[in-house]
Amino acid sequence: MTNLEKYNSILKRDLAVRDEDLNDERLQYNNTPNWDSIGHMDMVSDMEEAFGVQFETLDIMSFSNYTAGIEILRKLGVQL
Amino acid sequence: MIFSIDKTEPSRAALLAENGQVVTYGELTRHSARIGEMAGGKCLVFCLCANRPGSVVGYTGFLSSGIVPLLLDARIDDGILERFRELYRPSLFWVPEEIEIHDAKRIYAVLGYTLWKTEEAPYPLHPDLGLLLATSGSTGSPKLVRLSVRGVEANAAAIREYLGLTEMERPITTLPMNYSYGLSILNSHLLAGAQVLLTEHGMVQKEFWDFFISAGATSFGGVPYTYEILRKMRFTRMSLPSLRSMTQAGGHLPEALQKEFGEWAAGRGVRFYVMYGQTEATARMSYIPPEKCLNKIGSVGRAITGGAFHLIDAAGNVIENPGEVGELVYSGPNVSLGYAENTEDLGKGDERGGVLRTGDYAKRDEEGYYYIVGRAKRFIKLYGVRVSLDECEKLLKERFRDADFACAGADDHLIIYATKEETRTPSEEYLASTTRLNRKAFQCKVINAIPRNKAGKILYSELGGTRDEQDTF
Repeated sequence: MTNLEKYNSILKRDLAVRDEDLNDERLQYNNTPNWDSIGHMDMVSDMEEAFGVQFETLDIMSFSNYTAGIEILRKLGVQL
Repeated sequence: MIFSIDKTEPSRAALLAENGQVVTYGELTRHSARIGEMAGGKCLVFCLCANRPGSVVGYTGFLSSGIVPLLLDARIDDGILERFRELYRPSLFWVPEEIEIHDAKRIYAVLGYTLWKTEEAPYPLHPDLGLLLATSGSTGSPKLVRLSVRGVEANAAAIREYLGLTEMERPITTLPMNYSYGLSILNSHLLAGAQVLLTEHGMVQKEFWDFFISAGATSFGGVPYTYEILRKMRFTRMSLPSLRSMTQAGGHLPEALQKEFGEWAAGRGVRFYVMYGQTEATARMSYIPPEKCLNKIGSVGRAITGGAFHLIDAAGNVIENPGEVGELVYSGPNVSLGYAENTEDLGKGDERGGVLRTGDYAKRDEEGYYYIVGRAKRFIKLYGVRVSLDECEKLLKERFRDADFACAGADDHLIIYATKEETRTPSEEYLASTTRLNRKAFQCKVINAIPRNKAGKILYSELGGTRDEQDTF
């Protein structure tokens, strides 16, 4: 599985969404049904585990949509 | 006017919104008076609440003029709102301007909120009735708590006193105002003449903390899950020089979190209040004084000023000995008038006489601190939101007519027992989407049959495989 596929599968599972939802329009904090603070922290924990990284406080706050998550992981050194 | 808003220096800010909008106490008083006039005489109004200035001025306007609001979340499911409307037939709606109300006319608008008049004629409401809050609004349970203005003000005054609130406070919103705990923060701070910072952003968002810092927030409240999030966000490493106090209510805070935040707060000179309450008592019944926080871990504290706790045994006799378990009974001026399940009930007066059986089992220590050990009522807290298990069962049975269901669970974890495999995922999804709560809170287990006694009552004790409901408060 590529890192992008891993990222996508975490979002799909934690937010209960499908492939066609994987974009910034459909996936935004507070605008996607399961993306509330609970879903948010689940995704952060799952990504930390899957990619062996640690989100800083600012990373947690900046993860506001689909693309932002990819950018944060790249910044943390994940090839995506 | 309510909370003596007209007695605070009119030029002082009462509400500060994230977009820079300021509402002074003078403006709050004027808008409240105008909204009261536009609403006409005593009647029922549905307020669809958000943490915005318009939502607050409607609330203070209705309470100041004897109009009875039912507070609901502006993001409520349409079907559930319709059920409430059919049952309670409100004469008015107070809603964010982007929301349209069918079969109603716009009669007034201010600060981004609109007053709609329906075709329903007002019906008799008891003179003491001042405010209605839902017991389990997200599931659409028709059961409401009837509150009096006197009780709401008494609770606000007690909270102001024990938290030592002054006009220098600047609490930031972290909870909805239709939720009794969130509302109690608003009420007590308006009474203190403080400035309330209104934001619709959540604590995991940068915008929230930018506003927190730029506006100099002095306090916030949180449910147990809030403190879990803050721990994961490494909150204790953030630099928040304006923070003076934090409060916690809305369910039992895990002891490790109480210890961690208690120690951090003690080291920083921040006051950390662990508290306990119920909507049936307007909001607050007890708290642990911050200096006792680390000595009384797991306790719900002592009763607030003007209130008192006692314990009763199964026969209703008062338990005097420390360490003995009994049902926790609260008495005080903030106890609600009773419940309502239909329009007729809104004509009823005080049925409780200032005494509330909490439905929680507790014991008392030698120093008069209370510890909850179990719960009698079929309610659980999902991320601080009170959810009726019976109402969830009803929703599922109405939706999936061929299957049988039972709901059980503990805080933050509702278990659906279903008799049909094909309802496993749909039942979880249905409850999550209807209640607008995160799907993670719902887990379905498929079993052959729901255990029942001869009278058809579900035997929850035989469902097993879950944490015991009585142990988890």
